[in-house]
Amino acid sequence: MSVQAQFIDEDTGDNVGEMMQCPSNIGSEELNQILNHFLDEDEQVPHLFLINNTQIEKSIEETIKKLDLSTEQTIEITFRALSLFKVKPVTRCISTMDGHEKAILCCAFSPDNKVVATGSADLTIIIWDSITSTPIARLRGHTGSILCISFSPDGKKLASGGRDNSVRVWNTQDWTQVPRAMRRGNAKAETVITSISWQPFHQNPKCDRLIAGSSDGAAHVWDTTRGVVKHSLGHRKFVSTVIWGGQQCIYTASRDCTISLWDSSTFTRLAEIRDHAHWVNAMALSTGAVLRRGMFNERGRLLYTPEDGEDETKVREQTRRAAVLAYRKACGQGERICAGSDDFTITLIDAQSRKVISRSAGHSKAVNHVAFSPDGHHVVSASFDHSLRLWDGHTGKAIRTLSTAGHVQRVYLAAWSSDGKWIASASEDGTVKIWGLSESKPKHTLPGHGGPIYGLDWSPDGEHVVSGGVDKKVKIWAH
Amino acid sequence: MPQGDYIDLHRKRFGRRLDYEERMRKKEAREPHRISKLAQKQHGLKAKLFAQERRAEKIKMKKTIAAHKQRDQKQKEAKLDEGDTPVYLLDRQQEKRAKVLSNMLKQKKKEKAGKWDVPIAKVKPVSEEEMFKIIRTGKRQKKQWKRKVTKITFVGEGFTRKPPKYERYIRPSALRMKKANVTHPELQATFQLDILGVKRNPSSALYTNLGVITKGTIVEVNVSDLGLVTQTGKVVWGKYAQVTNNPENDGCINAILMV
Repeated sequence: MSVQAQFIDEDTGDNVGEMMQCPSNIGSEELNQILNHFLDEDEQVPHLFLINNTQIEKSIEETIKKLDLSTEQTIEITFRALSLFKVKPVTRCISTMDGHEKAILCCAFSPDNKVVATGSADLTIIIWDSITSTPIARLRGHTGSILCISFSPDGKKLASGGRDNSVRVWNTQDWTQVPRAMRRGNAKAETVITSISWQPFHQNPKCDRLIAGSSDGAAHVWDTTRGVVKHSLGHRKFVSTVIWGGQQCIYTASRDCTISLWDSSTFTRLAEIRDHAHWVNAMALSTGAVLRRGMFNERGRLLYTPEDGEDETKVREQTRRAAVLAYRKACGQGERICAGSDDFTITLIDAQSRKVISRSAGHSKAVNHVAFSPDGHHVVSASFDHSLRLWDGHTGKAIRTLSTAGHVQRVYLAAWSSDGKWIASASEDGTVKIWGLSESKPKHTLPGHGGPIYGLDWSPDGEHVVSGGVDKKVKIWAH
Repeated sequence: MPQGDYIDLHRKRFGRRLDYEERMRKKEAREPHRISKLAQKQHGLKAKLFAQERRAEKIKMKKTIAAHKQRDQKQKEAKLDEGDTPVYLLDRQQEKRAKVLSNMLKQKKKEKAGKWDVPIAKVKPVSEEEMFKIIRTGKRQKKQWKRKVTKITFVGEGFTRKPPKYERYIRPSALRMKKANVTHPELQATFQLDILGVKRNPSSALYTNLGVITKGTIVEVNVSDLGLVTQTGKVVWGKYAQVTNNPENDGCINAILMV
């Protein structure tokens, strides 16, 4: 059976293309192909098709039957473009928030985008509502500056580490500290916690394990429910970054110039990479974005929406499955890690074969930070030579130097938008700059901070960027 | 041999009296008593002069004490700031940023007020007789309205002289300069920078308009190469500097950057 059909644009109400004779058993996929042909689209832009405001689910025939329409008449099919996920670059400051009494050293968005946490040298963490820009809670407890904060991938816990060598875990429901600060008793007094990473959601939906690196060269795996050390991994010096990877592997980078790969179930060293000639300052994982989002998607919604009255364990299992799928999709052929060092180079390492893919030079001063784009195709490195560099995330080849009209002082951090199209960078010169992938000059320059910027984060849904630094103010930027 | 040398020679040979140090200490300790006695006893003009001197001395002393106190305080502040470093700057040398920042604010305030804290506060005024040479014009050389500037000047880019008939002030091209050797007081480094303009010649507004550069003049220099940044993140382009030498004598302009 065939029907006469006509496409109508929902926005304008205009007819698109000729009236056509089409078989009635076709569904929205086929319609989409026809429509994209009419619209002369290069890419297959997804659309939603409706007849009399009823969505075509399986085929035209079925919908007509449901609506009880005559097949003799021309059927008007309205369509609506479904946008591909896209992030607009931030251009303005929507709020400046006072509250900290000393410099802000780190900031992070929660995986559901609802709150921002900022850690400061005034020994407190402030939790801000990212939409209304109001403080929600002030977390006191640390006896030293807060150096790193990290939300658990299920968004229910917040871990913080500081100069007092303790890791504290806070409940994000009522912002109380989960009893007991986790501190290693035998450490030296001046030891600090440098980096925290949670176990990925798809491996452990309970989210009760984390790894924390410290400046005395040890990295401890903590059980956060009981507050005890499960395992200790060792370097010879200051551990600069720890990452708990998605493939049963933990990565640690240290100032003893090595990167180590550890098995995350037996905690034995799988490999030690000694390619760098100086301190390894930063490390990034190609699947870092999806591991950070955990049980949320790139819009900050749950990966699996529970139905009413569904059993909790079942929901958890479903969510875990969805997370595994999301991780596999992001992972592709395998995880890669990228490390930046004081010897001015960055290395790209294949986690599967534990081999160095490439070691790329280009910067003229120490590389302070590296970041993988959420899709894993690009790497950006921030350096003390006032520039950022863009690299291919698969081969490690240099693509572009981001320095034209760029920062005039050391660049500290870089952050990707969640669609992998924009980079935000924070620098000692007090500006945040937004860079596109195709140009070597910044798309936007965001001044406003009265001093170096120490903390920068782009929210997982791409709406906001948060920054904080010496001037004690937290700024939220938006499009 | 002069009389005084004998005692020197004796001292060299045999040393001082054994109780010399003790006596000197006691004498020094008695000094305030002597002065206070003097202050009470004196009268008339001598007393006035004495009091004046003593007052100046006391002011100086108090100022020194205050300066010492401030220095101690500053050190304490610097120590507290050590906790304010993020992870990636731990164990790295850091520049003292706070000082630069506060200085920037101070300068901004002063700019608003139209005053600067200049390295050379008191400048000897230059009289018009010294600055200008009268040039006689006219067929009989009896008109005396033309002036030639005898000091170094800055005229700006693309300057063309007025027609001679109307040109009152002549700025000889041999005395024009475009660059200055500017010292950054904190970095203790000197750079040769382009002059952008003469901001103020303290001797007279006329000299400022003419672009005359004498000792103490405040000039604006192009510091874009130094990579200084404003609070809003823009690169600083022009900055003021005060001339510290007599350019007309030295043949170059030396200046100190005002930070």
